[in-house]
Amino acid sequence: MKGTKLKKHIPTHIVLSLSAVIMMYPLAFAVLGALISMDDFYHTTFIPWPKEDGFSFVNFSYVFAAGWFFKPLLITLLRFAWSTLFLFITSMLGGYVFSIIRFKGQAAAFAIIMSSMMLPGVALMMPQYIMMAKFPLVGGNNILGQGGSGFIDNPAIFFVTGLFSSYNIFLVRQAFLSIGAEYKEAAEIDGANFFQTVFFIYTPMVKPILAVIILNQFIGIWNDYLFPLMFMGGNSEWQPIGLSIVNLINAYLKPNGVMGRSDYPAVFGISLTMMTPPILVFVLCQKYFISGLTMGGVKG
Amino acid sequence: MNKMQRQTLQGWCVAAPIILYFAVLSLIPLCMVFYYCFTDWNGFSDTWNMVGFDNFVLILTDKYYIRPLINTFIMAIFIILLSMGFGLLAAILMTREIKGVGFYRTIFYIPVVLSTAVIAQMANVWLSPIDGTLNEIIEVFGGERINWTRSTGWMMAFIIIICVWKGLGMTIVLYIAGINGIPKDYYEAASLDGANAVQSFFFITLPQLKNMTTFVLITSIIGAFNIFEPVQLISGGGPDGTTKVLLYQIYDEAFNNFNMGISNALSVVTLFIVGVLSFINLRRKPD
Repeated sequence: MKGTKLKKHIPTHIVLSLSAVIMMYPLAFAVLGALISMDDFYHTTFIPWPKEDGFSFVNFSYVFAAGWFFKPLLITLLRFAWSTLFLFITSMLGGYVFSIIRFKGQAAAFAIIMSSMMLPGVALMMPQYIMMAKFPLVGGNNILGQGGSGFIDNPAIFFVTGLFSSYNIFLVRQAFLSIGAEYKEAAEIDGANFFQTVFFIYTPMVKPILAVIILNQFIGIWNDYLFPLMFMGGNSEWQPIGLSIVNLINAYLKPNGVMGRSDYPAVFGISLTMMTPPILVFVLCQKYFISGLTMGGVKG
Repeated sequence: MNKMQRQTLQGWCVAAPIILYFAVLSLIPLCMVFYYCFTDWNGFSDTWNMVGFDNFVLILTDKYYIRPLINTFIMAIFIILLSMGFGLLAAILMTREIKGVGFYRTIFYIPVVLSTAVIAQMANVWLSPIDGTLNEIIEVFGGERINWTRSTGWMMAFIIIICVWKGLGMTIVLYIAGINGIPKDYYEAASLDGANAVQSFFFITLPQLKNMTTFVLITSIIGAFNIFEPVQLISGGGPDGTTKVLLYQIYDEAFNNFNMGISNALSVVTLFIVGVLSFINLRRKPD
């Protein structure tokens, strides 16, 4: 019985394995490509393989070139920590007041906050840029927003944007609704105040959703490219890793040196280093990524 | 202070700052886009003129501006067809009570968490017309080298392939959730009535996945309006601007062509298309 069942699934496994190989091929190619020398990579076809020089890890060292990695990494992590702190506070408080307590104007306030989900970020990118450039009293601007460059190429931009997410508030609210208000009443009898109830009673009960919020935020901030390109493109001192690494790769993609060739193994080495943290985070915490996605897809 | 007053105070102390922040970061730009789309501002001068609907007439009649809109839809259609087709197939195979589903899911989902910009940079190694890997492969088989960057069709195809490769894992995971949500007794009842696997698929699986398919469809179209990195880093919109997409055109008009007015008019077009789609998406009936 078991044998026939196993046999029945062999075609399924063959199809899925082949698809998995196709999906992983570009990354496997990059790993092998990063391990060989520039001369050996020349005329590579399907599989990069060393001809004369053998394997080496030297291509993974270029990413650590001065100014391109550690400072951008620090900026990225600071931005991640700061925005996650605010996302955490706004999601938990917002989720709580729109589910556990009742107050006058609640429906209207919730509708306004949820309406932001319908505003596409890409359509508001340009006017946001203009507003940030003309923001009064920032970056040399006067009270009318003239004379300076506002938040453009100003590191403060990373710490004033993206501080709440209506989607995250929505997720936490759904979770709190299913928990109910009984805990709040019990906490009140025990003398807990508002913040104690939210952060010490309710928050620990939605740890998986908290994980989803934090992990998605990490991937989003780590990979962010267009936002820093627009708002920090002219200031190479304060670029986060998603932008600085792409700029660094540009230097290696250009044909240079005596042979007039591009250093493709270096491109792969730099790219893979940049991709490693998201892959590790995903592989270690994948159940949260999957549940976060299906939460929006099934219930949304 | 009674309970209701206290809760109203608590509620608004939380809601008011969030609404205020939302108003500054989103509602002010929303008003601004509807102002600047009627101007001929270049992005840096102190003065500008109101030009009425000129920007909109231009972007809806001039070939140069319609092309990105059409490209966005062409890419959306191909990305949706490919990722839904392969995604549904993979999801069906992966819900067949086989071993190793978790492993396959991990593999398919890894591209989703990677930086699109860095993927685009790696694709450049494959697509370089001088010593790119694809041309080396063609040469081994005795073919003629192709200058990919001079071909609109090839560039569009590569951008589509990259987007499908990157987004497929998400479609698969959503469809797996959708298929697992279909009650098993539907299939049992169908097989008792003599339905075969193909009939079960067309008369049970597909109709039951309708809601999920709508969700995947709309998020994929919205996703197509977010394509930027592959266009900027691989094709640069070329050759001759024929692979531009709407978001890249918005960026290009503002920062390279200094037409802030047209850039904002394009933003308004995006706002309407994506806004309507998001609205439909949020109004979906739950399963």
